[in-house]
Amino acid sequence: MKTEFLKENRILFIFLSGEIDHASARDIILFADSEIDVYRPSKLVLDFKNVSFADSSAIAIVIGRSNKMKKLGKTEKIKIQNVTPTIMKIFSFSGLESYIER
Amino acid sequence: MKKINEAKIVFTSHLSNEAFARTAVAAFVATADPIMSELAELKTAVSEAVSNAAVHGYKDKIGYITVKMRLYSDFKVIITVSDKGVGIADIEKAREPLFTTSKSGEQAGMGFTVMESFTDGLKIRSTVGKGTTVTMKKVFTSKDGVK
Ligand SMILES: Nc1ncnc2c1ncn2[C@@H]1O[C@H](COP(=O)(O)OP(=O)(O)O)[C@@H](O)[C@H]1O
Ligand SMILES: [Mg+2]
Repeated sequence: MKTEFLKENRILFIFLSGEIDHASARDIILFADSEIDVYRPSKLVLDFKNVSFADSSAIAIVIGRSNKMKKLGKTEKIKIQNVTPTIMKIFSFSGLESYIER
Repeated sequence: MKKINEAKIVFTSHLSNEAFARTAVAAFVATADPIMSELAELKTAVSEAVSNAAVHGYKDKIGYITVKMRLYSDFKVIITVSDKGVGIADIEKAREPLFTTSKSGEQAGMGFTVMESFTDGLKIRSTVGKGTTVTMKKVFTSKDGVK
């Protein structure tokens, strides 16, 4: 996992990688939350380009981080990008399509 | 239809075995040569069932999870995932989208919805105190395009 922070517009990119499942979710959540706490971004972008597998724990990751951004009082909240069609379907089951950056 | 292959794996409910189970299933169905999206869907469904057995079935204990795989000549695969954990009191409720008994914030309550949507049939049998068996059927599109 890598992050990139754009100072000008305070966008935090988190580049997730590998397989996202219930076994790896906890570490991803801890990592993302600590990065959010460090940078206090006005927008968070979760990038799935290097994610080879994801199950429903990815939904919990997105919803949880969205709630965390809301708690910080951020209005633009969160976007997800570069998701595969299968992972896109998983997100759509729980109404997360609107989070997807096109 | 003729059963052309069968396999069974038994492993402990450590969460790291979630990856082992879905990889084993992927290897098992390789001879049916599924298209990528259908294989990804099956792996996801297996992952959901195995994580449920580990996280909800056995909770803080470690028990055995069994995954049975059967492949049929008409590109159909039947997977059963069973545990001898706590069982499910209300299966209808458990199947509802967003329903979860977990408070960790790591469970979205979408596992059964994923299993249902990513397979061609989902059956849940469960007895409180005895355990749970989830049976999933997946029919692969054959390479000449027929289901
Ligand atoms: N193997 C199992 N043993 C006991 N309870 C289970 C099992 N599988 C599912 N459940 C129950 O069904 C609920 C819904 O499961 P699921 O849709 O996968 O959502 P989640 O796992 O995110 O809670 C779980 O919260 C749990 O209470
Ligand atoms: Mg689940």
